[in-house]
Amino acid sequence: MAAQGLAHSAEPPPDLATAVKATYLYKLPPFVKWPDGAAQREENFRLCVGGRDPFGAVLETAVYGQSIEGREITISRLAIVTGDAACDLLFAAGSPEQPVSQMLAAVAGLPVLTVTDDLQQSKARGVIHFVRIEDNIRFHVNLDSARENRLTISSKLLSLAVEIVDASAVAQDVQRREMDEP
Amino acid sequence: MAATTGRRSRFAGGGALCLILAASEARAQSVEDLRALSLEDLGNVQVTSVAKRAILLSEAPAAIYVITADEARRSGAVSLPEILRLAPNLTVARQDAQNYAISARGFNSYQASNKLLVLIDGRSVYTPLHGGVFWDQQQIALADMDRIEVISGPGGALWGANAFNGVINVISKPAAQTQGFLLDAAAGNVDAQAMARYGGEFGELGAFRIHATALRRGETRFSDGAGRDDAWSGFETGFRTDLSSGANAITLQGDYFRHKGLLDAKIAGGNILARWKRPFSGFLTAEVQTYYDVIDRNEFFSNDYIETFDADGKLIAEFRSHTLVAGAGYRTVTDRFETPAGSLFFVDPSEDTFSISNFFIHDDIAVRDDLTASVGLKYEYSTFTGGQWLPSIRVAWRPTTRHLLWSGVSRAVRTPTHIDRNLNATGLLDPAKNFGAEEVVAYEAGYRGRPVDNASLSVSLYFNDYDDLRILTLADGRLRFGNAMRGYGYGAEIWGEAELRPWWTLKAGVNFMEKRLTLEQGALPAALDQHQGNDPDFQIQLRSQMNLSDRWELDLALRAVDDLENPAISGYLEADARVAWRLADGLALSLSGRNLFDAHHPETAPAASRGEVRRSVHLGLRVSK
Repeated sequence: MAAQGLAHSAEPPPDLATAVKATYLYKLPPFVKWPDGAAQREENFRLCVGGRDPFGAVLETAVYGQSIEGREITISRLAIVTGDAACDLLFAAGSPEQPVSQMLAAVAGLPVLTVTDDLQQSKARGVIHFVRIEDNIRFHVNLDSARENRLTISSKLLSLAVEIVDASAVAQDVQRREMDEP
Repeated sequence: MAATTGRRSRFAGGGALCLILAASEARAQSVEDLRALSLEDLGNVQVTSVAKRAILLSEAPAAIYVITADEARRSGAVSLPEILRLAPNLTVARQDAQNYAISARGFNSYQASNKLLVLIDGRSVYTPLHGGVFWDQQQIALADMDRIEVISGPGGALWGANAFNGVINVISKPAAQTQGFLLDAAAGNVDAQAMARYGGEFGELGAFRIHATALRRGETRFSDGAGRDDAWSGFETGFRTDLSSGANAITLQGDYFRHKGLLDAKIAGGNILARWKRPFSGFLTAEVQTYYDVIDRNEFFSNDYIETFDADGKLIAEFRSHTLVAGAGYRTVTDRFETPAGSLFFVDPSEDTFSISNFFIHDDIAVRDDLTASVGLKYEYSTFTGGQWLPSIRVAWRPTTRHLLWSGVSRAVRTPTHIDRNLNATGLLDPAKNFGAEEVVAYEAGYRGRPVDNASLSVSLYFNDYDDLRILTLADGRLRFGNAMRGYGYGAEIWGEAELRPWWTLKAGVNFMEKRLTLEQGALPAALDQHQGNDPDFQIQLRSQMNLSDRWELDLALRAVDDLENPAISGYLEADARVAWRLADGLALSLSGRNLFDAHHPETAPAASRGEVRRSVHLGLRVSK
């Protein structure tokens, strides 16, 4: 029914790729574990979009009636992302005022699930990074960023990721070997 | 979750494109529809610029099982036929170290398994010699495989030649997804192989990969445990490049292989394939594919040299509630089959050239939001049997986003092969110059969906009406192949998957099949067994996949196959197990055991010509950068 509503509205129907990404935003969190006692653990799940919003109304339509572990989803759009933004998930779209890398730096170490997109053409990567492979929207997982933000990514999510970045495992090995060497 | 439904529906692989569009409902366009999808399904939604509608495999009105790359990796299987055991709608029986009998919906035997169309990236690999597949010739780089679509049932309307009881579509990953260096190796008590691949980019133009594989397949056993000495080894190399220029997408790929086998057998071959795809005006896509394939099989009792040239094209148009696909194809095959002078059996003429042309049109019509009709018609003209009309009509009804019911009727034929028409044994067997096509009309129905959260189920039922099946006939004291058998086949293919925990998925599959064949005037009853195949009444498999932690995987499988009648072979229950350890990003070790219950067990063929499958264990290593 809402689909028909959308069709009758002035807005053109959402690009399917954007709709898929919006759907990912509420389907991914159940597979991520936030640290216990995180200050953000309020009644609602706060989904933030930082910078130039690529979603528009489709994000509201996508999350309508959805909940994450019983928590209702509220959407906030932030022009500038700061450390006290209190987001559970941040889609860092970036803007001329605050590029993606700065947005990620602002919440680094905080329990925020950061999501970036290939379309933004920025070298900065969040914990989840959307990529388009042929005709599908898939994602990369950055375990280093996840650890930095004290998030645990479920193995189910890892099995679906097309790429997992985990430099620390190799780095730990190198470190250990260097310590063993006389 | 829902791994057997709603898997990828890509435009990669010319053939795959055709199937997906033709078989789909193409309705999940709204955000509401996306809501019903699992995380995996979401990753498989097609967001192409042409198809503004998502096309999901889960909406296909046919019995389709998709073996994903992950599932194949976790099976511990090192070869394509072994990976095909994962499909509950296939019967996979190993005859010896080199040969397998693989079929869908009956007629399993090395001779009769000629009713399956097998495509690798759009290239047909069933042999025009006898219609079956030389599975030892099909070495693919498993780590770079994207998925295998196994469709049981006739795909005649789209696929044409030989898609009698099923289609196996092996699809490799695009070059852009296989970048960098990869080493995939396994070594154990029976098999050993190593594959090395390197993938890179041509700047903005596209990507490429090249790979080389060396492999060794260990011998099988006699029933008393003695070795059959049928081990063989081989080498295979290939490349793929995907380029894009403007709206044009071009793929070029090729392979070369060389094997050594039993009694100095030398088998070698190569192929090259080119594919071009381009969208036009927002609602039209054109795709053209052409390939050239050469195989040279020098075995002790025969030499077979086959050259194939194939060209196909299709046009896909989407407008209003229609997704129309129209296409044409042409294939010409030259087969030279020689036996040593004085052999009892020979083929006359030893060299024959035959061609098959086809034209098809297929439409998916969204009759209503929840109802799609798929109508297709293919006209196939072959050198041997003239023209054949292959119609197909299917309906898919989606009462809610979680359930799909489908039904269909299709007609398919198996066109005669070189052996069918020209096999000769002086004084014993006359060539069957008038041998015609075998025919099947298949009536099918099925359900696919998610009856409860975290679980998916697929049920497919079929009734096949066979006519003009091949059997040996006796007329005027002369033996000859004839189309003198008909009858019925029916069965059910059921499979499902349940996510018991986020880290634990259980999969199950059951396959029941029955055949009732009748001989017509002149048919030789003694030949019935050879031509009707040796099918188990049921097959069951159970698989458990556990992600013990971020780094550890434990996979277990149980496979049970019922007794076979002629020749009588007892059924078997076997187990496979695999444990894998991901040490670091791009480095994984695994230990796999297959056929663990018995030291060796038989699967098909008379005792004199079969080798028993051994219990095997191997260590696997996968390194990538």
